Amino acid sequence: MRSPEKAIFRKELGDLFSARSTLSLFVLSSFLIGYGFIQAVDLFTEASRAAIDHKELASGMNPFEGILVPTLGSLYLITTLLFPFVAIHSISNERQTSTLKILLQLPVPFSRILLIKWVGVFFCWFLSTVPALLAIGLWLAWGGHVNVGEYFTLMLGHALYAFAILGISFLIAAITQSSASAALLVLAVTLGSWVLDFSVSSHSGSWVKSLSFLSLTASIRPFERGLVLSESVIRLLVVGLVTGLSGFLWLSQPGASAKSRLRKVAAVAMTCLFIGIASSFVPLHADLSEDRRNSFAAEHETLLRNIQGKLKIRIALSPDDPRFKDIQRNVLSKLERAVPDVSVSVVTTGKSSMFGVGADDAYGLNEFEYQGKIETSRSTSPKELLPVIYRLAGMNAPEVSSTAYSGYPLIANASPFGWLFYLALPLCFLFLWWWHHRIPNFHGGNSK
Amino acid sequence: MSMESSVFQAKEISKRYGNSFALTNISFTLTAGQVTGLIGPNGSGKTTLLEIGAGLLPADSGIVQVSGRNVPPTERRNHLFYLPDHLIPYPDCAAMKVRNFFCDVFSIDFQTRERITELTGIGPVLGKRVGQLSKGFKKRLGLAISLWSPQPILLLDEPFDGFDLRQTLSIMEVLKDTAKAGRTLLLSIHQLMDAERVCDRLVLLNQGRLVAQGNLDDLRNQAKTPGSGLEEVFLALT
Repeated sequence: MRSPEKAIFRKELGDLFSARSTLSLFVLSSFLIGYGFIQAVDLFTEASRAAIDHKELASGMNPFEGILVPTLGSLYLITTLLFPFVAIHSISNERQTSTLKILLQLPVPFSRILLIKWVGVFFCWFLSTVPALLAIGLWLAWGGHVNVGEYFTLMLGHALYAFAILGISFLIAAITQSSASAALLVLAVTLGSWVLDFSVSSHSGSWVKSLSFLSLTASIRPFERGLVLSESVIRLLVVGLVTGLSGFLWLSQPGASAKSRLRKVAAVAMTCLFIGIASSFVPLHADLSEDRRNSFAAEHETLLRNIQGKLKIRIALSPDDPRFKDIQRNVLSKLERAVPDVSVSVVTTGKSSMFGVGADDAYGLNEFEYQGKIETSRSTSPKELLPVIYRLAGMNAPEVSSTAYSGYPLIANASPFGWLFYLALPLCFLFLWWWHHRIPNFHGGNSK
Repeated sequence: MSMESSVFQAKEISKRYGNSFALTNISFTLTAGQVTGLIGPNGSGKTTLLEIGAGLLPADSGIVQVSGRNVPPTERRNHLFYLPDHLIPYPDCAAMKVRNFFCDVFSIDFQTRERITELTGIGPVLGKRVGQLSKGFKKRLGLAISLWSPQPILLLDEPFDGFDLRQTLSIMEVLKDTAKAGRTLLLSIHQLMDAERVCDRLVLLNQGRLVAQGNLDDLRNQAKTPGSGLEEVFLALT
């Protein structure tokens, strides 16, 4: 890196570290992640007391969903509600003070200056995950188990989400005149995405579901199950790239007419969307969960991949029915990834009554069709449904030799370490803020 | 004024905001090593013209040439440095940090940095936050940044705004010396007395239209007011 770029990067980091929005991001991330971790350890410990003596219970003691997901869950809140302010500060402040006009004239390409800003803001997000690293370090020090693949899957999900939020914040900061209006607009987008996700999960059968693809929140869900889906990765990447690059283009060519800038923004958006849509035709996935909760046993997967014809499944359950969620999670989503050609449709035969008893006899009787042969079942368990599919396909169910997940119960007490998250780390962050915010010792005009 | 010595030419610049014209077919030239004043009342289009010249605002039509070559907006920062009127660079930072930052980016040596610090008189306030500086010192800091910039042509928007008479006179001397050293200056000024004191040439704008350009004698001749000051000339021409 040449000297001017180095100076700009130093200045950008100093400016970010001395901003109150960054201080809030760091301190609140420490509080929230620490609180989430301590609560998670308490609950995990309660459950582990019974599980330590009973193997069957121990298999349910999964540190990924018991510790990692709730600890890093606070990161989602922080990225949604606080991180945009850091990104907006980086652009809007300089716009309001006319400093942006000076930066546009520096002997460094403005696209490079914006890239430096982008890196600086993303570095701040990364620093806000330090409390999570501390929590995981404590967990490991107590003898807890962390699967590296699961940890990186979860971090990848949060990092991609932050990437998308950063792009959106950059674009909105670029097109608005003040930081207040930029903050309002970004929050409308991020909270809107969250509300949409909430509406979809509570009204899963309604028209709202057709808008679910707009929700960024939904894209993190697979990562929280240890599943990397190309569809989720591409969606977050495309959102981050389209918005971020559009913001870059809008800011870096102030002398070009709005029409010409809009044309370039549209070209970038169309290219990214085309790449996104094209790659969605090749769905890829990797189940990195240690207990392989997102996949059938390897023997089943191998056999299911050999089903060449179209497998049609008709589900006669209301999407609000808990059994629908069971079959969706334990069977359908896994089949969709394993069987080459499968179609699932939901047929509305009737609705479950208030007490869960079907008002229609056909309600809950799910239908499986393969090459003209049809079988029905009321089960939602893969243990009963996979043999149905094998029978239809004329296959013999395989011998499953995979060892069962044994679980990692652990009794620990996190409460005495609360001071690390509630006092020590916030003080470190406060020191970092003060160091960059202070007026340096000044001895006349020659001080460097 | 001969075309050979002109280092900057704006030709037929027009700009419209909605239905109202901010600038209508403005053409003027800047001569190397001279101080040119862009004169006009508030709202006459001075800032718009400077920002278009610097490539920071799109024009609806017109071209800008530097040394006879067309320069698109994206390349103008290689030749021109524009200092906006209400610049407050990094208000939470100490002025010294801001000074050092710009000197690092412009690769300014120690002697030049200190010379311009002294010329602009910002030395005593380097230990203060930029946001806490008086309007005059903010202006001086901005001026220092423009003097550290490497571009040969400086476009300064209202460089004397916020100064008292003594300060204005001392900054005028700095700008005259800068022009003598070979840089070309275009100053947007709404105080006609100030313009008369510092400018070698004048470009008069009124309601987005070019009224006249030339040195004071040329303008007097156009206004048919021999021996009068710029104020009388301006009133006669507009």
